[in-house]
Amino acid sequence: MFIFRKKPLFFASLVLLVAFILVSNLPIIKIPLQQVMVLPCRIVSMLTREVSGLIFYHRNFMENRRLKKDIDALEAALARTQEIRLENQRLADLLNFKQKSAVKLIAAKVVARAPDNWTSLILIDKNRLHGIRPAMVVVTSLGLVGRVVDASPPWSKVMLMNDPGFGVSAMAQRSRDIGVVTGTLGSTLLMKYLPKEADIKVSDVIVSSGLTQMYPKGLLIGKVVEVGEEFSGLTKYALIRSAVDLFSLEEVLVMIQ
Amino acid sequence: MRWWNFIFFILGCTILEMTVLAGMSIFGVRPNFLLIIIVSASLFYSLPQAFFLGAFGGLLRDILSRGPFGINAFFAPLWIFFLVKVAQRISTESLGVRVALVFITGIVYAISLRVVLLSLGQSVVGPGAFFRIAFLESLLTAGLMPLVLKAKVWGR
Repeated sequence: MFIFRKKPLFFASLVLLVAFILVSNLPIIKIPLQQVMVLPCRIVSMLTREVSGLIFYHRNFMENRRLKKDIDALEAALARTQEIRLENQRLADLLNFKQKSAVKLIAAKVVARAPDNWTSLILIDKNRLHGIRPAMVVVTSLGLVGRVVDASPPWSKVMLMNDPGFGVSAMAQRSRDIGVVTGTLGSTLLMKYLPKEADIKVSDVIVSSGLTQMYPKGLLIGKVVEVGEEFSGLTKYALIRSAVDLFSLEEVLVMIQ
Repeated sequence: MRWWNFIFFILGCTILEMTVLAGMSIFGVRPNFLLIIIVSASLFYSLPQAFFLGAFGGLLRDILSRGPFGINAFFAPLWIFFLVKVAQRISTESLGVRVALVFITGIVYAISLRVVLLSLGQSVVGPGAFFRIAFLESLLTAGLMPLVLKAKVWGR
């Protein structure tokens, strides 16, 4: 026989359950409820991970070792790719400059530097057989580098701007004052024989003046970092930071004229 | 090390100077292996052998540099002659004496080279930069000498 008084209890429970489900979907109830559940869930899952880590220790150890080897191999491949990307960027810059330039240019790689401290000389992998001759101007996309002093096989010798034997007639782009730029074996160049009344300031751009026949006009040499007066008091000098980093050259362009 | 094997040592040092050591400089100055060759040859080999080795090292330097051709090939044997004469008068067994020899040879070698270049009308750096480079070069080379001597491959 059906007990009547149980039915109201059943229906009341059902109604309460439906109401609870509907109400708990409201954000005002849902969010706090979820937040209450977060911490216990985290604790339990952490405990589960630790316990499974202990149980499956050997498997995890072997997988860890394999993954470390994969990481090492990938890091080595990444380093090689990075080097290729950098070389590609440098060659793209050179090619862009070469395409825009009105003169014929030959690209060459720097293979070595002269072994003594009293000259600033690099050896490039192109020579007379490739069309290079002494006195040809050497540049990069950033500016003037130097000139060829010897083109005998198997390589050519290029005297850099910071060699004491180098000299080029140059001018300040802003004031058009003319002087001679020569090397000091360091990272700065010396522009000398500037008139006493020359209007030269720090940060002035120095370019080739074209008065030295072998150097085309307008080749970027560098920027002024210091201005001073010569000991005699008759002329001024300026120290110039070259536009090209002469200590880390890897590729250069030789201007064929 | 037999004196003819020393030729390979000279070649190896030159290649190192031009490639690997080219990027490893202190204030833009690198050690001078020609100095090491000159002092080692004069200390460990007979005069004719040391003369030949010094000339070979100097000639290699002249071929790969820009200066007047033959200047190092001339000076290196000359300094070997002087060093052999010095070694006959004073004891060079001590490491300190050998390092001092390298340092002094470096300074005097640089000064003599500068005098010759100036008299030939060649362009040289100013005196300030010259003394900085000469001093640093001699110091670095003298500092490297104990490592070279420790190799214990020399003839005597």
